[in-house]
Order: sequence, then C-alpha cells, then structure tokens
Amino acid sequence: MKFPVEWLREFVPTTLDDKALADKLTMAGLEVEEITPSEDGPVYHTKVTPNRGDWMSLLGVARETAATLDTKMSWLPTPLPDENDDVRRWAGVVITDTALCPRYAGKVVRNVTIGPSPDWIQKRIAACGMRPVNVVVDVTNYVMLELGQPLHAFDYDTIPEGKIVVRPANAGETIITLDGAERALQAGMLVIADREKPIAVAGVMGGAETEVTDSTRHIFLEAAQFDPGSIRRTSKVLGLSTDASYRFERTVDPELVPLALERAAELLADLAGGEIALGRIDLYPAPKRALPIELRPTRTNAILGTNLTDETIAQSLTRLGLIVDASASPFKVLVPTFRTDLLKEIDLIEEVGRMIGYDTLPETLPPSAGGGGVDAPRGKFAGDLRTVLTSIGLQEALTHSLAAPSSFDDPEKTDERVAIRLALSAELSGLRQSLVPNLLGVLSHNLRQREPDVRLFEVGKVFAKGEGVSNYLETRSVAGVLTGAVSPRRWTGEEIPAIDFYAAKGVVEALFTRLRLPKPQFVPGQVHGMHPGRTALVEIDGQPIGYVAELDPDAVKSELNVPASVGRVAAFELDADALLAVSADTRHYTPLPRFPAVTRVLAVVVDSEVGYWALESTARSVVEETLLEEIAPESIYTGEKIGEGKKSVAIRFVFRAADRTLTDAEVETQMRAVETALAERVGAVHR
Amino acid sequence: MTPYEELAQIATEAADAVDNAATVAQLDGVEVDFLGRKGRLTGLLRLVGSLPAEEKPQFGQAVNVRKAELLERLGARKGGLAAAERTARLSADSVDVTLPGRNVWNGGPHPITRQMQAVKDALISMGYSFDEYPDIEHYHYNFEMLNYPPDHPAFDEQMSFYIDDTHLLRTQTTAFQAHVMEGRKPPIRQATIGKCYRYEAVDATHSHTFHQVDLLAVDEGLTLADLKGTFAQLTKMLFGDVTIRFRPDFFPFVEPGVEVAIQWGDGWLELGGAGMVHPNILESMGIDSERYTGFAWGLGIDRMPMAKYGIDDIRLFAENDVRFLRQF
Repeated sequence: MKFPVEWLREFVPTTLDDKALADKLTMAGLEVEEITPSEDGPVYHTKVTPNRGDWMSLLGVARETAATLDTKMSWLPTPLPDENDDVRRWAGVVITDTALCPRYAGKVVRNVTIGPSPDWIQKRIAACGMRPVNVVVDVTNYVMLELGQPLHAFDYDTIPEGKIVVRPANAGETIITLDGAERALQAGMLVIADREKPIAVAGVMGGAETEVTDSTRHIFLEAAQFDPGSIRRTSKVLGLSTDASYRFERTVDPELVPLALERAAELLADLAGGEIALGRIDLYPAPKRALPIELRPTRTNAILGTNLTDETIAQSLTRLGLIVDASASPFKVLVPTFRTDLLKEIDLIEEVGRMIGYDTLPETLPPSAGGGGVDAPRGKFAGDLRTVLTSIGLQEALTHSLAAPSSFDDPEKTDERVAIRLALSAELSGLRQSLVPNLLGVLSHNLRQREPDVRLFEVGKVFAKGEGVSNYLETRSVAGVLTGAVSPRRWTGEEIPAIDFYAAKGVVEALFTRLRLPKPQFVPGQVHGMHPGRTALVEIDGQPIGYVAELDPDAVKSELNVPASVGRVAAFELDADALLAVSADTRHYTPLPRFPAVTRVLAVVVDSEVGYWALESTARSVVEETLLEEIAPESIYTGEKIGEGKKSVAIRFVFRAADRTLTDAEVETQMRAVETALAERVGAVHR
Repeated sequence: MTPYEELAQIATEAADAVDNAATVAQLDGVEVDFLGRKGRLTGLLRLVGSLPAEEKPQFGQAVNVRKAELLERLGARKGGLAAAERTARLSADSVDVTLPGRNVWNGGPHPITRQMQAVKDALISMGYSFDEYPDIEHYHYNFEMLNYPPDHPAFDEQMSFYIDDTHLLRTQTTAFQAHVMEGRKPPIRQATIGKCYRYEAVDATHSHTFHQVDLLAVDEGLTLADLKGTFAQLTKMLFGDVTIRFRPDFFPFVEPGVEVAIQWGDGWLELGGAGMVHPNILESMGIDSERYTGFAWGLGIDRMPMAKYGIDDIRLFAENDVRFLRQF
C-alpha cells in the first residue's frame, strides 16, 4: 500500500522524521520499501504481508504505529448509533447465504450533486495511487483508504424499489462490470442482485448498469463483510483483482462496516450536498466476538529465548489493543476483531517478540544433536564430478531445467517430456530431458561472442514421465560439450590439435579413472543429432549409461546458429545416478615391481573396419594374464603402402613378472600366441 | 745451467703457462706438460742422479715443493675457469622468463554452485545433514503440509508451474519439511539445497528459476534466539563479520516469522525467510509441539554471489557467457 506520511501523522503524532519512522515500522514487520515524493508530500510504500489485511488502511497502519512507538492514537472513529428506520422506506436487503456474506449494511444519500471532489481528497487518493473520478467514487475510495472497508455506491434509481438481494450467482448469469467487460458468472460466485439479475460482483466490482454517473441523483451506499476465500476464488476465476477484492481476500474487520458507512455518508452530505436518509440497514445475524486466547509467559520466554517479565509481556499485547488479564495464570487475552490473524498462543508470542523488537533477542546456538552433518551420496558425487571436470579444464555451466523443445531432443522420447500446464512460452513449456541441448545453446552463444574455444559441462537433473499417473522421474545427469583447440595456442609454434571425438572420449575416460569407476566399454552406436560414424555408446557390463560423440556436422551448421568457421563439436552425456550406483572404492595396494619389464611392439595389417578393441581383446584372451602389464595402441597408419581398405596397427605390449626377470623366450612365446590369435580371429597379417 | 737454475726456469714457465691458459682444457694440457709422467718438472727428478749424494735429497725436495706449488696454482686457476665456463654455458641457455608458460586450459565451477558448496560446507560443519528432494513436488508437500490455508493470498507470492492437478515445480525448498519429518523423529538437523521455480517475469533481479537452501531443526528447547545465533554463525562463515538483521515477516509455516538480512554496503541484503516451525506443522507430523520446538529457514542463494561480486543482473547466471564464468 502507499499513502502520504502526513495522513499517518494525523492519526499518530510523532517527532520522528519520515526515515526514522519508516525504520521503526520496518523493524516491527510493516516494511516501508521506499519513500517517494508526491503532491501530497512524501509517500510511504509499504509491503503488506498476506496475513495483515488490516495494514491496507491508514487506521490499521496507525494502530500498528501507535503500538510500535508505544503511544496513543490521536483519534479513532466511533460508531454513531442510528436506530432510525427511515432508510427502510427507500431500500431493503436480503442475504441468502450468510456464510458468504456475514454482514451487509446500506445507507441512502439523496439529492447529491455529482461533480469533481475537492482538491484535498483528489490529492490524497492520487498520492495513494488511485485515480480521482467524481465526488461519490472518490469519497468511497477515501474512506476505504482511511478505514480499510471497501464501499460501493449504486445509482439508487437503477435498482427497482431499492430492493437488494445478496446471493450466489446462478449458472449462465452474466454481468457487464464497471470496466465495460461482459463477464460470465459461475454458479456460486457471490453477487449483489436486484430482484432479477446481478448488479455487482460482490466485493470485486460493481456493474456498469448501476454505476454512478453525472446524472445520478440518489445513492445507495453499500458496506459489507464477505467471505475472504469466496472473494479470492471469484477474483481469480474472473481474472479481476481490485482494491476491494484485494482487501476482502485479506479479511476486513466486520466492525468497520457501520463506521465506514456513516463516515462516507457524512462526507457525501458535506461534499456533494446530499441528504442522508436517517438510519441504516445492517444485517449481521451472527456478530463476531473478540477471541479469547490463553498465553503462558513461561512458554513465551521458552519460544523467544528470553527472560521477559510478566509485566513486559502483558504490556506488549496491551499496546497492540489486545485486552489482557494478567492476573490470571495463564494470561487471558481477548483479541478484538481487527486482528483476525491472531488465532493461537503462538501468534501472541510473535506479537510479544515484535513489540520487544527482534533486534533485542539474544544470539545463542542450539545444543548439538549428537553426530555431525553429512552430505547425501548423490550431492557428494555431484561435487566429485565437478572437481574432476573442472580440474581437466572444463568450465561449469548452470542452465534452466525449464527449456523449450530442441531439435537435439531425441524424437523417440517426445512422449516422455514433462510438460508445464498452460505454458506461456516455449522456453517455459517443459522440463529438459537431456543437458546437451541446453549446453549446445550456451556453446552457440559463446561462439557468437567470438570465443572459439568452448569446453562446458553441467551436472544437473533431467526429467521424464514414467509409467502411470503423476509418475515423474528425476535423474542426475552429467554432460559436456567441447569445441576449438585442445589446449591454448602457444608462442612456441607447437601444432595444437582441434577438439574431436577423442578429446571428448578422453574426458569421459578421465571421469572413470579419477572416480575409480569400473572400466566402461565404448560401443559404436547411433544417437540423435550426433555423427553416425563418430558416436560411442558408453556401457558398463553391457548396460548403456550414456554416450560420447561428435555432433553431426550438418546439424552443427543448420541447427546451432554458430559462425561458419566452427570446427568439430564433441559432446558426452552420462547418467550420473547410474555411475554413482556402480562406484565403489576398490583401491588396494599393489607392491611396486622389483623386476624389469619387457616391451614389444607388434605391427599388423587388418581390414579398416576392424576396431582396435577387437585386436586388444583378442590379444588379452591369449596372453598369460599375470605377465601382462599393459597393452596400448602405438600408432595407426593407412596409406598406399598398406593398401586399399586396410590399416596398419602397431600395438605396444609390456610384460613383467612379479617374481623374476622374464627371459626372451618367455616373451616370445606370448607374442607368438598373440600373432596366431590375431591372424586366425581378425585376419591380421604380421608386418 | 745448474739443476737449480733449470728448476727455477721451468717453474716460472709453468706458472706462466697456468696463468695464460684460457680454458680448463688448456690447463689440463699444462698439467700434462709439467706434471705428467713425462712432464718437464717430473723430468727434473732425472737430474738427481747427477748431483752429489748429499744434495740429492735437497734437490728432490725442492722439485716436490715446486710441483706442489704448481698443483695449487693449477687448482686455483681451474676453479676460476670452470666457474666462468659454467656461467657462460648456462647463460647461453637462458630463456625469456617474461614469456607466458606452456599453459593448459583452466576450468572452474559456476558461481552459483560454488556458493551452494560454500553454504553446504558451512552447514555441514555446524551439524546439519543434507539430502535431496524432488523438483517436481506434490501440492501436498509444497503447500498443504506447510500450513497454507486454502484460497489464501499467501499463494500470490508463489505463482507456480503446474504439471498436472497435483504436481508442480516446487516453489520453495521448504517443501522438504514434511518429507524430513515423515521419516525421522527429533532431534532433527536437516538441510537441502537446490532449484526452485516461480512464474515471474524475468528481469535483472528476477528469474523463474532460483536457488534456495532450507534448514530444519526440531528438538527440545529450541528458541528464536537459537535461530538468530545459527543465522549469525552461518553469515559469519560466508561473509565474515557482518551485522545481521532480524525483523518480523509472515510465512504460513513459521510463527514467529522472520525476514533475515545482513548489512551490505549502504543497505540490507535480504537473504530469506525464517522462523519457528508452526506448531500446526509439528502436530500434523505427529510431533508433540509442547515438548518439541523447531526452527527453519529458506535462504536465497543467488543474491549471495550477486552481492559479494557486485553482479547486477541475475540473468548472467543462466546465460553462461564464459567471459562471465571465468571471473569466478
């Protein structure tokens, strides 16, 4: 809410300047977010928490201010007894649902002159952010701002015989509201009706047909109490939030009804020359009473962590206008109807805390609960993944889980996408199924910023619909995208290779090695959007847990919006939960070798399509395991000398025995076996 | 020439040769020439035979003295030359140390995850255990179990992304509270950290996705003062000696409710909401709210690095421009 500070000072005189007063209120919970100038002097912009509808008026703010400053308000509105029933000659009201409308009051002001309201009213409501309209509308708004009770003025002559019915709408009924929109009402929405049709949406907005116009002569003024939840539902369904509905949703003190009604009528008589019909209609079949709550001072101190005296506690509540019987044990506290948020003892304890000031609370640490804090395995593993990937030169990115569909999404998984209901834009239409499309977007952004070398990774959740209703799967994934040079360009003139499939595979292998995960298998495969000849599925014990690949070069050109100069782009994505499941600390000390190793290099020629792994696994199957220390590719060569469709592969073997120096003959035996096996099983020719 | 004269002359020549040698190699030559098996000084010993018997020992001694002198001279000269040669050799091998090193790519964590890790480490050290909870949350956990009355304006602060009639993207990590209390009895010291989602127009200070850390402590005798001390301890670990601010605020799941902030620059950095767990929640979880009390908070993560590093636009975090990320 916003209001001129001067208005507040009329209720609560104080010597504090505007800033100091604002700080006091903020520290008591009524936050003054900013102070701006206006034609009516400095204006406070306050943040009203959803439980404090009473702060939506000067009266409520003044009450809080007086309590905070421990002073008295300079005036409080007092109800005028008005037992006269003259008004019943003019109007009549029936409430059909007192749960939705616990109180309804009306008053008739006759022979008003419609014109602009006086300057001081216009300035004030304008400073509060409302637009001056005419004297009648302005007066109802002024009183609403002052006391917090929304009011509505009907053109009396548009209501046949002045007969009002407060009732739930019937299905199919419509109304044209003050803003000129025709609105379809749902059965159960509370309306103000004449004998036939709705003339206002109760507590939300009046109807155009009964609007006060320049030719209006008599006014029917309404002040009422409506059920907050009902007003809120109606306002939501109609998409119509007004100053009135905003207040009703937050509850309005029912005792304000007669006060506001009389205050507005008086102002209209003064400012619009109206004659007040004596008496008021006021239907309030079940008046709300002050709420009794018991408060234990010991409990108060136990919650706040304080040592307040009974007297301090009682005084804190008295300042707020609560009625405290401190002679009783526990205290008996009566909560007036203007504080609908105070329902239980704990609510009163908060009030005590607010009045003594949270800033006066001591700072203590709770006792240990025994046992220290630990991180969940999943959180810790995510940290481990980050440590490895950042240490080998990848930069972490953090992208939104909400994402637009991407051409890199797997088309076979479209049905599994978790969609947002009633999405307002593509970017917010669903949850990512993979981290790679987002990372490619980031890569593309950076390439366009003329950053040619981009190496990014992300550790985050991906989402999918599972079988059945409302079954959603959240899996932790780790993914990376890389392009550019494998290391920084140097002044030494060294040739720096460009990122390719093997660069990304090296990253994946580093993850497995550093996290001591079981050795994975890399199997040629196909992944949507990836290069069909440069894609490996990553498997553990035959179970696929992800892939490493180069992007399809045509997709890079057509789908990525990157400069034409971009080279190969590589990517990987692994199921981090699956990795965590197979991770185990299997470290075990092996004594350092005491005898020398023997190295042999074997060069063979095989068909081009024979994968290296076929050679290594064949060799491994025939070599004496206890003697073999390492097998690794030494070099791969293709060319005219080797012949069309062939390649030469040199493989390095390292042999070592734990207990002796190997003889040449022993090593030869092993190598013969390898040559024979390679020749027989993969057609390898020894060079 | 007498043998003595010859000895004196050769010694002089030898000394000159040593002094004139320019390299260690030349010195080695001088040593061979004069002191080698066929060297000229060594050769003088042959003259001993031509001397009278009583002079023999004297002459032999004189030659040996000269040899010793020459050796000493050689050694001194050799040391000087070797040092000069070493200096020249290594000097020729010097590099321009002002050129950049043979560097490798550096990686680094995202500033948000770095901040989350710092928060996590601090709270773990204070005895809180972390666990993870779903981003797609049941309405029940996100709102109902957190004491939200139906049709309450408190929902206006939590515009939600709904997936279906019952599920939404969690609007607050506070949704973890009921999960925690379903599986545990007091004493409870639990925390969680992660993404939250609210339908907000994205601008320099708002995003539809943000990060929160929620904490829940339930035990006998916990007080609002304990919450204040715990918050002060965390901010000390994260920001150093800063002034904290505790002021009343409203959240349906706490009573008393607190907005927590720290002094930062000229103003206050509001970090989030906190308070004593509402007794309604403890009771609904089957925890005796007379015997046990609890405190809880939900702090925003994103504002922390923004304040610390002077980042003025929250959108930079999601843009992931490497020129931005490299700064942290």
